[in-house]
Amino acid sequence: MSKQFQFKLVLLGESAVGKSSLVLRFVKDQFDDYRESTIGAAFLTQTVTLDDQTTVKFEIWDTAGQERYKSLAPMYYRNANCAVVLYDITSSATLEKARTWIRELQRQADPSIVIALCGNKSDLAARRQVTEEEAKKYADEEGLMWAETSAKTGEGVSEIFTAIAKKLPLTAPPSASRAGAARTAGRAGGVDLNKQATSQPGQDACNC
Amino acid sequence: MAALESSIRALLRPSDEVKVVLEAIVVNPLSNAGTPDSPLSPTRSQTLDDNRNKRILAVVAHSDGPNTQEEGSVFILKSKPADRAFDQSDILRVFPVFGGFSITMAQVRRETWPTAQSSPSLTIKQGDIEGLEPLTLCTQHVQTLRDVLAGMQAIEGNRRCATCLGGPTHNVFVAGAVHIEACSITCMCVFLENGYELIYDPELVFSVPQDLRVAQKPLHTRLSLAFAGEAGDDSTDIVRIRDEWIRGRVRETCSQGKQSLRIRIGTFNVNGSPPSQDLSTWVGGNVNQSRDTIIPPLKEISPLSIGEVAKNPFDDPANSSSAEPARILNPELESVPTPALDKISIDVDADLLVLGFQELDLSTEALLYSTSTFREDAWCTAVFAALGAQAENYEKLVSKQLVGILLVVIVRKALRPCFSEIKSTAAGTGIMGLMGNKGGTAIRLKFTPIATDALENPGPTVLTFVNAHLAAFDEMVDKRHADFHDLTKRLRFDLGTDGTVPVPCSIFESDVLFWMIVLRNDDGSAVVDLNYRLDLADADVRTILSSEEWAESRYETLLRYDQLKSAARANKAFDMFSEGPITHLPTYRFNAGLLKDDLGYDLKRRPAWTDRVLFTSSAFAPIKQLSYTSHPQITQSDHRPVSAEFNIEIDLYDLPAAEAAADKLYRQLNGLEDAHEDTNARVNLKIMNASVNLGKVYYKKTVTQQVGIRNIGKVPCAYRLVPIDPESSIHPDWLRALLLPDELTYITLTAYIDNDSASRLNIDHKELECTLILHTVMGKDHFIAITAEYVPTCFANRISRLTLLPGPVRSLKSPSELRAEDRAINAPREIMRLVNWMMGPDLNLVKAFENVFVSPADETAVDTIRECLDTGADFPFSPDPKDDKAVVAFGETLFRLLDSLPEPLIPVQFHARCSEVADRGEAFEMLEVFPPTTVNVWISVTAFLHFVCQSSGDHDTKTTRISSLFAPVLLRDTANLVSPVGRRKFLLYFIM
Repeated sequence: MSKQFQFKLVLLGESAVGKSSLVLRFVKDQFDDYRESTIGAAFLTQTVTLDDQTTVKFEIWDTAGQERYKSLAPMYYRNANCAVVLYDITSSATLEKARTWIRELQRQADPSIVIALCGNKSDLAARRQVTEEEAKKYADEEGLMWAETSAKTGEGVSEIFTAIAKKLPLTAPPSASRAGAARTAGRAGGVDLNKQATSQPGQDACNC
Repeated sequence: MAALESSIRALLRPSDEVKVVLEAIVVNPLSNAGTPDSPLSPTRSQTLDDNRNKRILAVVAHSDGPNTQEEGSVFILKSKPADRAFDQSDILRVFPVFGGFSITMAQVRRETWPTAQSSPSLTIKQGDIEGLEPLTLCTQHVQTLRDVLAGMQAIEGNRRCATCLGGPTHNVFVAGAVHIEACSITCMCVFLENGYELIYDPELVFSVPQDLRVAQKPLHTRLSLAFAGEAGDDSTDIVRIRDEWIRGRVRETCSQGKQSLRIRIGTFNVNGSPPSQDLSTWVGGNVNQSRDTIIPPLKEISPLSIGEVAKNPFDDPANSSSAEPARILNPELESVPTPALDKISIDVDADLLVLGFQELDLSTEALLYSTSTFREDAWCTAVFAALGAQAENYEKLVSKQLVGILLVVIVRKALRPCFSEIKSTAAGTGIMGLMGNKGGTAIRLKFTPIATDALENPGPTVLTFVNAHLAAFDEMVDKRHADFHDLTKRLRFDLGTDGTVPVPCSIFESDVLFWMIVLRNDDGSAVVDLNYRLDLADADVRTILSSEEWAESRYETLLRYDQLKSAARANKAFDMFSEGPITHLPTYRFNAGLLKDDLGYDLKRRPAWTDRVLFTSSAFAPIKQLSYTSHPQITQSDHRPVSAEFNIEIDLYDLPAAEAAADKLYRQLNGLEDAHEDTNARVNLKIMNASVNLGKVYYKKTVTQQVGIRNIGKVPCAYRLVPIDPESSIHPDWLRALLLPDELTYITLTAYIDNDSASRLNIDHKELECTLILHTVMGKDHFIAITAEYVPTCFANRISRLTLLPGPVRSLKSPSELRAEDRAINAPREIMRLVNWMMGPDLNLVKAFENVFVSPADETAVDTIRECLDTGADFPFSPDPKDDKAVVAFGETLFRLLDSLPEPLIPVQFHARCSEVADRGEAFEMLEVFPPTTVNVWISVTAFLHFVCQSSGDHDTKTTRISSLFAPVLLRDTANLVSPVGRRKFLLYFIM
């Protein structure tokens, strides 16, 4: 019987680095050349199947990158199991911003959070301002996962999410994902959350 | 039922769970259902008694363990005597919950099914399985039936992500083939997509009104806890939002206008006395208004115009003031001015007379044994006698007595056919929590408007009346609240007609609910006494009640100490009820003997309003209170009777049309719950303007702007605003609702800076900013950024801060420009500017001040004056002795400025000493202990008030008025700690 785990993932990064596009590519394998800037936080889900029949369901919060909404970000990354911090390889300023986000996560998020640094827009390598070496070096120093992706071509997108899925503590009970569990239980029952929590030990995973 | 459950459980595997068990009777003949000869019996008794028709319906859920999905089935079993265990052959049918499974509910009408009139029936179908015919059952256990539906919903919710766990072998379900291995049953519950449908029967939506305690809570407070990053329990929320939306939408679209129903409520604690006096004023009223009287909506009333409050605000509906009943929580609304009314002749025009009596019988036995109709006939005779010539138009509809507590409903004969489903109940809360010396009786009526050609099947409105005598409303706060809540629980109506199988119904499951209530202790002491949280001296109470100088603020002052209102304010009891403004003297306790004061109150008991009429209703039956008064002419008891007249606007709607509309809407919204299956695409809202700048916001100036929200998705979409974290508020009461595809709606944002916000913002907050989070149920969070620029005002600043301002408040660029403490000016220049303008030489004429603090001020002028104080500009008014408009506005501005001070002019710590001073000399000595700024302002203001009083033609009236207006402001006492009489006297030493 296959096992399913559920984790909360949050996307952070400067405005216009391609957070929503990356999610769109990952979740629906689509790409829009012109996307409106996200004003809010979108909730999406996508499941990754690992080799050993284990599936990992990501509950993804795609947050607004604009500075004015920065104060709301902590609400979305609390209880997150993993974070993808994006920068744009054609803009070194966005890497600086990514460093800020990473420092904030290291300071304020759950200490066990898995962080991936992601250089997006790899299809625009001709205009590259951030070298692979520079980013990789920084990621290694901070103990982060690192990859370059292109939401436009799809290059590296599913790979980075799969890599995150593998790095997550799949041996631990998925109840580590507290927020996710509560969400699922609520939906499944629709009657009484508390009652369900005691009567249905199976609420954490939705294995079907 | 527990035995039944365990007996069924014995048939199942340990991993199967019996969710709900329901006893029911088969309605459709089931020749193939394992009972070979069960044609529907022709008569009711045969049908009901025929055990062959009895069935047990069990909702069984199954889960294989933590990593699997819960599945479910509905089992139909033969009914067995309680002592006999079930065996496998008792399982007649099993309906797996999947695919084409559906449950349809319907109300069984008396003509078609001869059982209890309100028995719903349910039809279970498993459409895509051949040979499994639909089964229709009828049950009287409505509550259990709801549980069945809830159980189905739970399983249905789980079904969504379920996959096939076993091969479908449908044919085993063919009726008659009852030998199934129990262990295999749940494995056959294959869950397919998109077939399951729980059809809501619209008739059920209308048969019992929504519980008023639920209906009255704003929807957003009933939704699950959600905040940024945590969506909450969307699937439950969506059902609540949808049902609420449908309920509102159906009544809105099906409404065919309103019908007025006039109800007169009376409550009388007769203290054991038999009827001996004419009751006509109580029963019929001596003030009559025409039937189509419309009371205008509530207007904001200047605190300066509370002058005529002593008159009954209901007396003259033609006056522009309002008798809109105040929520118990809003005592300030009760100060409503009205001129007197030319009283019209006695005429009874109530459609319903609902009279509550208490203490009909005080004998010892009566406390223990219910003497069911003791004195009821005598009192009814007296009531009909009081109706005089009108008596022939009325008849007694129903009554209910519990020992000394009697509730009688008298109806206008012409409307008698409109009332049906008349139910009554009683519950004692007296000795041992059971005896009838305390407690309540209640009556429930279904009112159906008379059918017309245009409206053939009008929908009903349910009216409930409670007459309660509550015990021990003393310092044992918890006990008395418990009594109230106990009574609300135990007063339940049995809606089953034959009474053998009760269908309980709460008093709150009603459209309109009235409470007549007496609050008193066993020892006779008043419980709504004026002693609540304050040692308001007995002498104070009597002074305020009887002396002329308190005439204007008598009720307002005393009701601040009212226990019932305090309990409501604290949400301890009665918080959902409204009560009209009280403008009559306390109704208890009167004494016929020598030990009474000038008003006739017993010297040993603090007078109190013990006899009250409270009400609440749903949005579909708005209530207007037309009168609320006591009847001091009726003196036979130690209480005075109280009456209250109401107009209820009954919603006229066609019941079949409403049911059809509800059904249609349910279908239209089908898919709402499934929307999240593909969250990533289907739910899609567009916020038309995600960034809102409200511009400049001024003190007490409303600014509104709208945010457009359009549903650009393909499915209905529900949205709500959520706070940033569980501890914060969303911001004010923003609305939330359902949006159909392509529908556009608006959220209205309102900025309003009241005293509290101003006192915070004045310090240093010019840029206002916040972000609203609009959560799409099962979708994304949208942010709406709101900005505004606050324009500071001199209002709502501490006196000490005003004296540190280097110039007008608007010219202050940063707090660093404030003067040093030791260079503070003597008194706030804003207050001095107002006083100096009014004390200027040109106005030194008697006439100019006659209307100050009496007439309502011109709001534009008040705004202009405040703006000049804020900016330092010159006043664009010149003193004109002939036109007092400006003077009145200046007076009002001064009053409001003093009232806006975050702390009263005289600091709270001095209030007790001020209220105790014995003479003018001592009063002036107090000036030595006040802070210097307070002294300066106090002297200027009181000198001005003194001048106004002196210059009036009616010196005494003016002084009374000004002192009753200014004492509660200059010595504001929000905690009700200091005697109102003492505080007022202190001010009088300065202005007399």
